[in-house]
Amino acid sequence: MTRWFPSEEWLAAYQERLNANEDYIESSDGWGEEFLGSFIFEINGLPLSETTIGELPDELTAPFRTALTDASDARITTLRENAPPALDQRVAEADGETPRDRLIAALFDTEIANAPAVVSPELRVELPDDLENLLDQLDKYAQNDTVYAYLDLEDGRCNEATVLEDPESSTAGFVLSAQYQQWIELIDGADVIEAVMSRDMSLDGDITNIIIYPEAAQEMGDTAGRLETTFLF
Amino acid sequence: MTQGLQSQYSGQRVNTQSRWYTLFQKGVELGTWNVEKLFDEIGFEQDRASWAALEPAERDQIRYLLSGFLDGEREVAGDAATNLQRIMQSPCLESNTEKEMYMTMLTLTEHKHTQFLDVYMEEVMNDADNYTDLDPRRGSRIPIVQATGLGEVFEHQGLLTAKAASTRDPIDIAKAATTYHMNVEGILARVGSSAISRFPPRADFPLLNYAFKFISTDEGRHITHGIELLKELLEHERAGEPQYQGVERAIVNTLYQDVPYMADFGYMFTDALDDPLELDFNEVLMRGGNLIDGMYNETLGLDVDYMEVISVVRDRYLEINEWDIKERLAEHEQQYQRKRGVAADGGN
Ligand SMILES: [Fe+2]
Ligand SMILES: [Fe+2]
Repeated sequence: MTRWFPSEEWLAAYQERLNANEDYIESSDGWGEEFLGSFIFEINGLPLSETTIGELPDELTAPFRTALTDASDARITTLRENAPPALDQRVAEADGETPRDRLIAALFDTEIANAPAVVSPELRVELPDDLENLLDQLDKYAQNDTVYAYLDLEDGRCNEATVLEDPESSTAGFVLSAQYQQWIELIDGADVIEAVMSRDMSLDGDITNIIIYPEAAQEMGDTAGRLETTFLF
Repeated sequence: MTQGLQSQYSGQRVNTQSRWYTLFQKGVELGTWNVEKLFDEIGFEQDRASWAALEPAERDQIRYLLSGFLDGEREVAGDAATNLQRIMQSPCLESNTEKEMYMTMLTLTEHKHTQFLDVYMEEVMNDADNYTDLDPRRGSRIPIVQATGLGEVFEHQGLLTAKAASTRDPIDIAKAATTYHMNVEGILARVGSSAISRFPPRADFPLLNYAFKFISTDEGRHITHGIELLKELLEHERAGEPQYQGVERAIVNTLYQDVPYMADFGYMFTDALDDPLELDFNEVLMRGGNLIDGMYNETLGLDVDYMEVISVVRDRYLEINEWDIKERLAEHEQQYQRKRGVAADGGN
């Protein structure tokens, strides 16, 4: 199955890999026992207002396009009749020879940030599960253009890994934040310590604890780097 | 008038197009601030009042920080006038004439920095550590410097610059310039002056702040000189010239040697005293790491092994974290007093 980043599923797989990584377990022995070892990963600058549904990876959107292309004329009519105002307006402005073409064009030109207002309950039926799930997650978790993930790390184990709906109410020992593009580079294998030193990523928290466990920090980065990941944007 | 990057004049024996000529010229123009005039214009009053109002632990933080500077400035001033001046005549370097010209500027400003700190600490802080009758270059470092690894860095600088002045070998010059210009001026001094700029409002020292603006500008030119010097040596190495082989390794290894002791400096004016001024050891470490990355990797194009840097800093940190800094300091202060022939029970 495809591991989309960012998503709950990616984070769950990351947690599983960390807990199975002997080098991580060994190098983080004692981590967080006398201090708060939890992390918040802050992924900034997600291009939610710039990216349209049609610009998401084909793997996600092709089945949606097929479903709409193959639907009966009657079904298309139903979808149009039940369209919310936000979609109506987009269809009216869309290019296309037939009502079906205009509906598809309107939907695929919709920015992710506007998707919740445009995708009606009727339309949801046509959404492939993967796409529906990811759009729901982005709607639920994105605070403006930022997503926050929380990892409870203690003594060689990752006890919890969740995407935060309400980051204000969570406290963590460390906050690692960076632009989305920088997270892509990290997952593609960039060195996390170098990224922090060069301030491409910013790390908030008691650095003296990180200094005592540099191998654990490196393994956290490398574990992400080894996870087969497909990026949403 | 600043000449910009290139002089519009040309000389016969002086190459006015050399970057060291430009640095010299900038030094002539911008390095002319006058310490005594600064004292007259800004005065000591506010600084003295702020000093008097601080808690003892807060004063200690500032004392340790400025003592590190005072000792360091004396060391760099002394090494510049002697060793660096001779290194600039080395046949393995280009633009010897312009480099020698520039070095006089560097030396002059380092003596002004010493002048400022020496008088300032006596006039404002009038407290322990002002044992200026003992020369740190004669085995009498200021106690807090001697009690921590900061003294190791300054000793290293003295040894490396003396050796390079004697051998005039590119590798030795690379090591000397790395300790002096990158580690002491580029990292320690910049981390220290950034801590001064973060003093909380109750630690309001206008004279100190004013002087450090000038000092930082001067140091910026010194660091540029150091980076350009190392770049020159690296270019020769990368061009395959036999005499220069090993320059890159020498630079990086000198960082690994100095960096654990450099962490001492940050520690001694922050966490060693529980940091009531909130100068923040984390901020110091992050800033130091960022400067290492900027100078070594980005500017010089080297490949510093961060795990190595952090591992040596970790080992040192675990060691110094166990220290009782006051106890260590007291030991060195007693030794200092014995050297001065003053009774150790505090007679002044
Ligand atoms: Fe200086
Ligand atoms: Fe300097």
